[in-house]
Amino acid sequence: MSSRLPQEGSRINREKTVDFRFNGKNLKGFDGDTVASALLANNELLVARSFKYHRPRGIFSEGEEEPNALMGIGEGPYFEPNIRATEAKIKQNMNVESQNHWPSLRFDFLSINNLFSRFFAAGFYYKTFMWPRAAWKYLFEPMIRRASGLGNAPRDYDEAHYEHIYHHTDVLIIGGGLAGITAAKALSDRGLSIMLCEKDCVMGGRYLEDCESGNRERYKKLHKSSMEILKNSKDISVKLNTTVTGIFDHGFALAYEENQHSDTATKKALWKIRAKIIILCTGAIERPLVFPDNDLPGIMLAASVRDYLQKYGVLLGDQLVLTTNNDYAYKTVIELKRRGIDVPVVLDTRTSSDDPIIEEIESLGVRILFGKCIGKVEGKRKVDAVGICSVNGQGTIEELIPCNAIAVSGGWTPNVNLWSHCGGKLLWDGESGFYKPDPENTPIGKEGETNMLVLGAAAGIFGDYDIQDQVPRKINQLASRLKIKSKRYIETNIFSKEPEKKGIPTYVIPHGASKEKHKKMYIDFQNDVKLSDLQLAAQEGFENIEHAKRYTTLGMATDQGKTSNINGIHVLSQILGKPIDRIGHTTFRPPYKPIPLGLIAGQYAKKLFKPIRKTPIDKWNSRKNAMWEPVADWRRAYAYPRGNESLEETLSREVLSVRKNVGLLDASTLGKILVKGPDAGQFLDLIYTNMMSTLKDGKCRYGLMCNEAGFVFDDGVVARLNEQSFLCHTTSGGADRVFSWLEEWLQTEWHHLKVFIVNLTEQYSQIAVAGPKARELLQSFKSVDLSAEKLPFMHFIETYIDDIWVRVYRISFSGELSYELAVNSNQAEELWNKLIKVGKKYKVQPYGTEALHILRAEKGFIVVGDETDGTVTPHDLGMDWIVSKKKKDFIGKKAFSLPYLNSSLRKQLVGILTLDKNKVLPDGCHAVEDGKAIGHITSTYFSPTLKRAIALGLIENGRSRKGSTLEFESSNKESIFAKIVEPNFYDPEGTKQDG
Amino acid sequence: MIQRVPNKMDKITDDTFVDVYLIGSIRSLNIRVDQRDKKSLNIIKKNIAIELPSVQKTSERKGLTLCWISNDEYLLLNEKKENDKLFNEFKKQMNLTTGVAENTTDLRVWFLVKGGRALDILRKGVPLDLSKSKISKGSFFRTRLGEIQINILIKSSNEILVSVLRSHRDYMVDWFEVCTMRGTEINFDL
Repeated sequence: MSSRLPQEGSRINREKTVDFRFNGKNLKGFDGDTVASALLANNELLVARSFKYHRPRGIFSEGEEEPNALMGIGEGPYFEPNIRATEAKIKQNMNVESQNHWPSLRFDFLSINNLFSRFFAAGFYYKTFMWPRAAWKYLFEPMIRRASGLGNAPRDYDEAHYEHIYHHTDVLIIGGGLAGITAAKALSDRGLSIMLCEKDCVMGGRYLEDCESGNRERYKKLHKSSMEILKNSKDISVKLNTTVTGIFDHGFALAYEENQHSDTATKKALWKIRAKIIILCTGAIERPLVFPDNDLPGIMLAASVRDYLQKYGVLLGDQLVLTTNNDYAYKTVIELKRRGIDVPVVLDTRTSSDDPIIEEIESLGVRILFGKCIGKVEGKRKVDAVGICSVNGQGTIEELIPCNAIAVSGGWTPNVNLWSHCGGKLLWDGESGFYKPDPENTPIGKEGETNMLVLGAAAGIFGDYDIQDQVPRKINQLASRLKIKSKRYIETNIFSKEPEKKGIPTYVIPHGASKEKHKKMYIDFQNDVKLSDLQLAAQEGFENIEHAKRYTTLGMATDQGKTSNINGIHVLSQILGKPIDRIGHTTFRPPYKPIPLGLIAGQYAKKLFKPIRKTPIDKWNSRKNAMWEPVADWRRAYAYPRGNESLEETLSREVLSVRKNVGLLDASTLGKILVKGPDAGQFLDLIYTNMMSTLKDGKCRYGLMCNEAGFVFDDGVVARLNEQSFLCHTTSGGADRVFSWLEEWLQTEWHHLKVFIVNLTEQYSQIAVAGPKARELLQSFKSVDLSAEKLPFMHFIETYIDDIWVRVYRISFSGELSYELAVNSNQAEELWNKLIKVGKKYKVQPYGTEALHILRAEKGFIVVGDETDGTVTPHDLGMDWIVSKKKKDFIGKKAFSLPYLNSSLRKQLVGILTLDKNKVLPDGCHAVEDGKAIGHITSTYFSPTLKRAIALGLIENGRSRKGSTLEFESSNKESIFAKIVEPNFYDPEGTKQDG
Repeated sequence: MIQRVPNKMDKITDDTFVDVYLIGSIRSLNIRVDQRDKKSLNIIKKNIAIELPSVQKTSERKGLTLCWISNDEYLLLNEKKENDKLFNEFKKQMNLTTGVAENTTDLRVWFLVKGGRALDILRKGVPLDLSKSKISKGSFFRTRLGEIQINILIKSSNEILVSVLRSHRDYMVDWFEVCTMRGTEINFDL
């Protein structure tokens, strides 16, 4: 059984007890405990069920490599699934729940899968459940989905605080162990900014905890002085609890910071770091050995057993067997024996070792068996005993040793994920049995230079002496390469050169294990991949490691093969009879460890989710309970319902108000781009399809822009302010697009033209005053003379309404007498209020964008984005009149001569009247002829003016079909018949626009 | 440099680790000028007697601040009422040339961010290098904050003027509220 020792634990505060719940059970831990250490302290060995077979699983490690103990932590809006128990700190009243079981962790019904595991081999779902066909959708898939998977997605809105932080630094050091600390010290005082990210809550990595007891004080002294240097250095910034999760091109790194923000909440920040040089000091991860039943609760990596003892005073078991292939793992035995813990036997796969640590262990009375390994593990939900067998045999059990815990070590694997993220290549080190970074094939920066350095265990250098020897040397070389003028960094190596702790690469034991045993030898714990699965993959032709990975799921998902990759590659090499370096390795992908989805969103959730642009009249619109419509990034008043009005009633009222009296529209969102310069007219002639240079001062002209392919791009009214200045209006959603378009043409194609443009969209707000009483309303302001003589149609004047400067355009998008008032935005609301107040006399009403659309559709005016979709030409819209025949050139001109764009079979804009005048065609519905779609509806409304349904549509060869009846098909297959007519339903003579 | 005593009524953040004030509009002209156009350049030098600022910098004289936006675009800010005549005359003169001086006062709203961590706040949204060593008093940046366009004028490391399009005013107020919350300071452990 696991337990807490009466003392010890460098990470915990025994003075402060923390209460938490695990699967509804009240437990106690200490401040500083991780969920894993607290569970072990409470003898909770069974903490999870495996992904596929629902086998009982326990805590296997002490860090981010943990494949088993994934928990749902927190409650309600703070619940997060799939959190590694080894990384999460316990908090008062925290709720922790294990995952992937039903009805309970101890009695999991789905553990029946284990009994039928032979049917669930790798790729079983590709071969089974083929019939009956419908059963896949309705039975098999739902069943498999329910049975597999990890935690459940949270149901409540996530209330954690997430944010993004940008950080620029000269050097980013990843890892705060001996190599990282030494690198930071060596780089300081060279005029470089240095950021060091350490995933743990303290600096030091393994070197303090793994040092020999006699050296501890000396090491502590070194650590203390190092911390002082880091603290006092102006160059170095250290971030704890921050994991670099991905490195991308040109020194861009993402780091995940998780810190306590308040008593209940954590702050989770995504650091977006730009570094000129990145130094990887990410250490190494201990590798397990693969043996039968190696996944039972109570089996743990040897170094993790040590870590729990030293950091948390937690003991995995009081009868612990070590199985290993290296000398380094023996440190665990020393630590256990120092505390009087029984270690019945050490099983070493090697034939011998001459390391002094062996003698030390033997002197402690521990039995060491060389050439032996575990042939089986007895126990159901925990370890009860191990069966010993010969490494080279078939696994015949020679002796059964009772025990309640197993420590396992198959050596160490450099942590090279980040190196690989951005293109660094790996080299196979056959002697040590791992992949390490290839110094000849490094990631590169934006100038093609090497921008990453890897130091310490991540580079395959493990001894403290060797690290302290390597790091200053490499840093000095780096400084010299970067031509950083500063003296060489020299540090006295306080570590003594010890004999290297050796191991002989061994991965799967016993070597001659039978096929039956292979089915119980787990390689990837998180994805339930067994040795037999890899054998099956190879047998079925998935020999490439990338294929085998996908077929078996080895090394996939949140784990990214931290503890399984090397063992899996070895197994495949054995099966295929190829050396490991010819097998290669899978691609490590970011994130290095899972990050919450909320972190990717950062602060851009809830009210910051999307920037909503508001007009100066937005507050007034809000007060009037306007319904909103998103138009590009703007929010516009869609309609102004009153009392219990239905939407139809509101729209009818607003439309008729414009047709009979006068209406006000907040048109501030229209794009307004000033084009100024001696060549402005020439420039606009090239941009628009019609002539603009001939426009007289004080006049307006409607213009259409096309792209090079001849398709309509944007439209709007152009006003000539003076000889050199034009103000071009664009669609609401098109302002920024058109501005960039104009700037691009000016800078790339017509840079010889003396023209400047300024985007004035928000400088001016615009209010449309439309309706037969519009002139009367405006002339109520004594200063304004807007008679037809003073201000004819398509002209503008600048004047004052009371003391507010306005530019009044006599233009109309409704077909009625209409004025658009441009006003400096700071005075827009004031002007609006004046118009509303004075307009009462004329029954003025505000109208929203939907009424606007009905009004313009009644007149047959197009809207870019409704009647156009990026494939529509002016000719298609029946607007040949706006395409100049005189101009030598303009954007799109060449395309208009293409036969395809002049084909009579192209869709053409027509008006459509349903035979049943109350039947409004669904938007976008198709016109059907002989079972073939020949066009679609672009705008469709019930016209309050005409008291009937009207529509505009693009129909193949539409203009020649006028007078004919077509069938339209709604999405529910209902047929609606309608007549094709001219696309102008109201006042075709245009008499109303003069009032 | 722009001087404006923040009105306490306009303080938009509460219980935060920096103070943010909504200033509203600052009289401004967008200037576009070809660097080869000596006539226009002379008008800038003569009328407002300000040297053209270098990249990402400002020049300042008697309450007028000229900010570099790009190689052919500047932003002239006028903080003093008594400069209005000069300001208007400059606009008029400039528009007689091939350059442009256009009133953009109403186009933007300005915020004042005050406090020792003023720069830190912007680091939560602005991708530029805003470390204290890289910027100085009088720096001016046109950049982005999240998805929106933003201008940053560094008055000092403790006082920063920020402008956004007026349509983004409410969004920016919300952004400041979220990002200046106590407990979310950008801190280093060593």
